[in-house]
Amino acid sequence: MTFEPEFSASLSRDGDVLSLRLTGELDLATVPELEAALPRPAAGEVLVIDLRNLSFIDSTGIHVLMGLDVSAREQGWSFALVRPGPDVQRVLDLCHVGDRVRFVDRPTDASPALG
Amino acid sequence: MSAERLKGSWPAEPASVGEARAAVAGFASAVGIGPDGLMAITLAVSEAVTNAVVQAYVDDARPGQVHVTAEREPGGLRIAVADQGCGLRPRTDSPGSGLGLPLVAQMTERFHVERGDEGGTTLHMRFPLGQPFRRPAG
Repeated sequence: MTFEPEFSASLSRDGDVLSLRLTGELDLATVPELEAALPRPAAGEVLVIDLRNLSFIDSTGIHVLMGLDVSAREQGWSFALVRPGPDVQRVLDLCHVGDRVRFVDRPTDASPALG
Repeated sequence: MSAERLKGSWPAEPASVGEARAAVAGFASAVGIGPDGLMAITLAVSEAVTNAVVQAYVDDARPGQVHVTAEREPGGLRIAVADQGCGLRPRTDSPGSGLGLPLVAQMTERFHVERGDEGGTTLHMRFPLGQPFRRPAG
């Protein structure tokens, strides 16, 4: 039996807010799927990664999220995360992701006017 | 697999990270580890197997194997992740940005890295049974 970790990424747009909803487990095997699904926000736009349906993350996934924060600062767009469930939030807290990245409750909360 | 011991081997490739994680989660759950402990164990195993996949066989044309053993012992769970590769070496292109081993340290009661006499690396980890895991400070 071949094991395939469940993961999907679904992109939607609402005005200047690009929302990428992640589902499943994010690790070394599925990070390439996330990277392939990432949009290229223009300056002034917002990219929000919705983590509410993410069930697992490890350092490889966090590395990608922190790289997006760096890209946002360099390229003039905004970056935010929709708060995940407690297990994933715990890993993000251990890595102090909240020190650099803004957390919101819903993708619409990441609107530039509210940022 | 006996109820008190899990032993498995996987090719050192990305898909094996989730496979090993799922196998250890199933074993840990079967021996009575609760949700909080399961989260810590699956994260630490994920980091350890990822390390082996990314680091161990960089000099080899074909990936070797990653071996995972988990054993119930008094008051805890002992897990070892082993490879026969080139050992832990600094890499500037690591996909985990150096977060992996610190996360293992946070998730375990104790851990140590062993270098084999004939090459290879084993990461030994011990997890407590029935105790809350550390939360981030601050």
